[in-house]
Amino acid sequence: MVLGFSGIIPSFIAGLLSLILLVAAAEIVVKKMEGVAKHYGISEVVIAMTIVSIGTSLPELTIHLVASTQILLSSGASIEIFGTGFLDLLLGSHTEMMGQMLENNLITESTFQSSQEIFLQKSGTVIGASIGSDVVQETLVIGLVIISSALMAGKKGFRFSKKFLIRDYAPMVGTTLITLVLALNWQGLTKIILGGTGTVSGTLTRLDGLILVSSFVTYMIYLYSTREESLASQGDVTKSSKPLKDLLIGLLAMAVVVGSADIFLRVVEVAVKQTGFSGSMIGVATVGIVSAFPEMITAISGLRHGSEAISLGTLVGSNITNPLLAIGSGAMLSTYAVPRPVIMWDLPMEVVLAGLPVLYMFKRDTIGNKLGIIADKIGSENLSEKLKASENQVLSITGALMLILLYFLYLYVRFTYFPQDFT
Amino acid sequence: MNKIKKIIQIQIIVLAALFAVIRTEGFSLYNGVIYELIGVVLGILIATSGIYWMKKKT
Repeated sequence: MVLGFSGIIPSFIAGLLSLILLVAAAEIVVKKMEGVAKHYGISEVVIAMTIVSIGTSLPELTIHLVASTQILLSSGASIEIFGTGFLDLLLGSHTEMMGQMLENNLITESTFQSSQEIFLQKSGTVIGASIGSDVVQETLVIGLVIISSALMAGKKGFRFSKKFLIRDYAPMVGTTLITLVLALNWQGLTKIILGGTGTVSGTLTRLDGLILVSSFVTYMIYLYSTREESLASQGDVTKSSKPLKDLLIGLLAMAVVVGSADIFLRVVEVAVKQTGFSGSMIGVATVGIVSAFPEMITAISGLRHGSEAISLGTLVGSNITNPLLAIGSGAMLSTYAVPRPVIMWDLPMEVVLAGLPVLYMFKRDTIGNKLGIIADKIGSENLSEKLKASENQVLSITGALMLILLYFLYLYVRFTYFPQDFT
Repeated sequence: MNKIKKIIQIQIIVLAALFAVIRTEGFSLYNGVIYELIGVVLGILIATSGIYWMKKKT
């Protein structure tokens, strides 16, 4: 039962409303906090590195923090967790720590079981939500932005700057790869490779979370210490005229964000029990899509104002923040169990979906020439000329359509072949 | 740049050493701590190599 409602349809409506409220309130928080920070003379660099960079990922980040807190509180002995050995705290999973507590009679068997259930289900939901949101943005939203901007400018494609591809797009592939490498169960993988049996679904420990968050901080420092235009673009933050009122509204909106995240996670708990869908699948299909809205809205508004670079910058930047900061902080707080579909399909597909466009745009000229020669041999001169004229760093409308198509292919395979999280 | 290159080289050596330990000691070593470390070193290696590549390209 969620908010007094029982049954799948009322729960679904409550879940959808909580998600919409979550995203809308997050927008208000970012806007108000930017103005307040500017009023109190906080530098543009600090505003850009904190509020703006985290801004569009605030819904995902809050969902992670709320879920991690729920995992920690589920044992009823959350303080005792931090009293265990330093290495255990850093390298152990929630399950292992609960196991230790059970051995020491700090918790009962039934508490252990229910805490374990909450750990697996919440981990699956929030990780699925982050990865789902990233995949939506990397395929559907980027595809739509490219098509819209090309059509608006009356062109057949969109030209990326080399700098953008190297400093923004490529790190997006890297962050997903880091998450995959940290989440993978290397012991299980080695056993499978050597012909034995094992599982590839691993755990994101506190150390893994620390690495993800540190990578985010390093990347931010690198980005803002080397890119002048990014700082200049932050110069349009409006100073708040009533800072105290705005601060209060911002804090209230933040409370709404946290409350909505909590309601949403409770709805998912009910939905998992009633529908039999896995937590990560619900995360991919619901939060993934809804939490991509702020980026989509920013991207569309950027396009309307004729700044495609800011549009794409927001999308790509958010896909770096999601795995590094959102998943990283959640893992640092409670550790996460990573579901099998995330390791076997979501993360590898995300690497491919983000990596393919980068490779294609860097090598478009070479690929075009080779395909042009083949077209020549077939006898299609028109096609051959078109292919040979391909330029690097350009993503054509056809390429963007392929990205959108890949999103639906990703969803189809996800729903057909990966229905369960941990079985 | 040279500093980053050296850090990358050290990480590769550590990784090779971890694999060597697994090869000689077997699966059950330290309840999988070595395997956890492999993921950690690989993760940091990707991040460092990424920064090296970005600096080199720009």
